[in-house]
Amino acid sequence: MSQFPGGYEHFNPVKSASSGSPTHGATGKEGAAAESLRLIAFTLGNEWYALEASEVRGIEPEATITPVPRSPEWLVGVFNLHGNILPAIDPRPILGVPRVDSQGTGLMIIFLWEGNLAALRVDAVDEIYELPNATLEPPLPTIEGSRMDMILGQVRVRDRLIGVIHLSNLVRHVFEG
Amino acid sequence: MASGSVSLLVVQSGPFRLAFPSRLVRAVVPSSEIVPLGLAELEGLLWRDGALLPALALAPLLGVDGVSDRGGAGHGVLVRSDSGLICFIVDEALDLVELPISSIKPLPLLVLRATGIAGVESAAVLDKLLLVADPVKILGPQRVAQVVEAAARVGAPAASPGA
Repeated sequence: MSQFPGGYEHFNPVKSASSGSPTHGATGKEGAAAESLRLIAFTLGNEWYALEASEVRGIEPEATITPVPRSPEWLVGVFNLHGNILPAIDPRPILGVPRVDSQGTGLMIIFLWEGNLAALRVDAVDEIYELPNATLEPPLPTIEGSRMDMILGQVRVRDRLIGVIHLSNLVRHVFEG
Repeated sequence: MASGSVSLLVVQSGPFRLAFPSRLVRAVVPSSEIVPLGLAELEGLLWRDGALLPALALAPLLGVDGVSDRGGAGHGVLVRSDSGLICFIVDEALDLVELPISSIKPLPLLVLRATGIAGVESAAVLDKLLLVADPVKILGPQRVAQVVEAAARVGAPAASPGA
């Protein structure tokens, strides 16, 4: 699946964690790729989360979402993306983030899961961070129950604590129960 | 209807805007024609073509809690089922549209799995998606049989000789 036209256009340049300064280009250096994490950071309310950039197919402005009857809390509805029908997932109830009425003001992070395109609705996308693998810390022990499986770990960037989402576990948890 | 196109009746039920395939729809009536019963299994009856038809609200079938605020308005949509006509009460029958069949696409399997609802399995892909629904499938064969039987039971005294 190729990236959507316009994907990543909302991103600022890639920044390294140590310097906070932009690196050259969005693809980074090939040699460093295996030893580094490329993360797309986003906000849900006051909390910071990130996905591995390799899992993301594009970023789109929030589209008009059509609610589907009998949807669980985390399924906001479906929307039209370039003629495709995609489910829009609200990660807030899954991650325990307080819910707010923010429809229309957020962004959709498009991803592919087991051959299916879907989207996470988030408040804002910040930057792509390129970090050494070693900066990924284990999940906080205070994370409860099944949420522990959905968090790959955490990274500290400047004054931010960013939870790195284990996307496939999160999606499997919601769609397969 | 032109070949390669599909005719849809667009309705509003609670927060949901749905489109019923017109081939399933026999008629649309004002909800004022529905005689309320207040039974748990049957909201009302509609006298049509010499028969009493079961009438029930669509919104609860879609998972909408409570009674829709229709303010006395609303429509009943008469839909064909294998057991006869069933009247589904909606907030409003909005429009009759004709769309290319090619614009109708199945909902993602992930969505169908998550909602578990039968009868809402595709959407017309317009700027905004329009869910295509079969209210009889939403009701399910068991409930169809129940409401048809309840209507016959309630209507029997009225239809019997000397009543």
